[in-house]
Amino acid sequence: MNKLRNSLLLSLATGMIVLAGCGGPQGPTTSGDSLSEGASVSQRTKRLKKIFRAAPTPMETARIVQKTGASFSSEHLHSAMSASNYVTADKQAINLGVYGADLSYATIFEENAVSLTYLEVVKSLARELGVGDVIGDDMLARAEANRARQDSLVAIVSEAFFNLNEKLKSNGQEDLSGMLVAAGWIESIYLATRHNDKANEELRARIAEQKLVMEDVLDLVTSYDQSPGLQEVVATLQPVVEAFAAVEKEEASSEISKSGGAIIIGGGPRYTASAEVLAQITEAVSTARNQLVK
Amino acid sequence: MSVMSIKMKHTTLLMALATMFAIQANAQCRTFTKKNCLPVLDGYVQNENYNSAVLIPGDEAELELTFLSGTDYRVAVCSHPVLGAVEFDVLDEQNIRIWSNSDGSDYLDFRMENAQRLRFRVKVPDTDAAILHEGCVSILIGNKE
Repeated sequence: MNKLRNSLLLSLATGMIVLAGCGGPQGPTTSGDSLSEGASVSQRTKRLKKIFRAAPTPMETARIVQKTGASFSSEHLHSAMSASNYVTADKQAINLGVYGADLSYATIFEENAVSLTYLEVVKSLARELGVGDVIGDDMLARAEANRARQDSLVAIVSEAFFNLNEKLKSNGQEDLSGMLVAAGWIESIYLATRHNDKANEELRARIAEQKLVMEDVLDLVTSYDQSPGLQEVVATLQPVVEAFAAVEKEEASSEISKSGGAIIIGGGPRYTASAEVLAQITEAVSTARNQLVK
Repeated sequence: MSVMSIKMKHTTLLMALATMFAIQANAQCRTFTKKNCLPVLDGYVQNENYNSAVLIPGDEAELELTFLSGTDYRVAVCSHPVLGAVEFDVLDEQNIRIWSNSDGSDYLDFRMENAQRLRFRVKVPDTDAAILHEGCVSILIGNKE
């Protein structure tokens, strides 16, 4: 018994030393020449290679879709009235992704009143999911105050979803974060393919390129522990994966040039989809999306 | 109390402490990233992805991500100064290195003409020091029209 007590005391003392070395939770500093916030003495000696997984956001997709001259109609958004129907954590996370993509499209297409409504829906679902503190009343007030400024709304929405993803991951709810990302991607493609009959060549090319984004999304969500809910979402995406398999890829080398302080990355592979393939993608995405919002 | 029972409790306790320290380190990494790294994306809208890890000298980190056409991007690599100057390079889909931070820069601004997946490779310099310090490394992505 004494041995156990001694071990406990030794472990706690070690812990206190390490915590002190980390700067402690309450006293971080920004200096870089001492052990401070974000650094400490390592207990590890074996080297590792950390692989980060990520995917482009619905906001980025909405922006490139808008640049093609595509039209947007809020009638295709998922009804804000349905938000209260989702009572399980899985369904709330999935539809947080769906509403997040709707919010991104409304913001990029400058439907500002719609944006504010969907931001409130997102806040409400996040609260139900137990992460409502990342979208505080101050954020809603900032959005309301900047309702006429698209750039401010884009920044606020992006900040909200950065905080949401980070919070879910830090809570150990990576599976819910994965559901949010996957459902957000499906909704963003769903909205991009609503006007395929009028789609110009540029929009068709942008949709074909989404094959790459789909691969990023799948790499990301399959890197997380596969909860039954996440497995179900991945299975729902399967027909979409099969439809995108018919997208053609033409290999080409990158060409690098400079413009001001930035580099321009030209060339690279080209992705194309025939009208038939596009129709198959549209159909598969529509089915998957309607399954997710049930 | 049997020896086996004491050993099990001891192991459980050590595992709990290890978990607590890992949570503490990750929480500090989040704070570090928000305070020290997000400002590097000034003028760009931050991507929703949070990519941070606690690394030691000799460690590597990689991020593979698709970048869409017609968008201006900034990718910032931010690391705690205790780790020294991290190396940071970019490879295209054909695994050809198209940029490296040989000038010591902690970010890259670029624009894609076509959508392409790029790989960002970060290496923490090795050290001969007897005591290894670990520090937070973050890869952040921002975009703008």
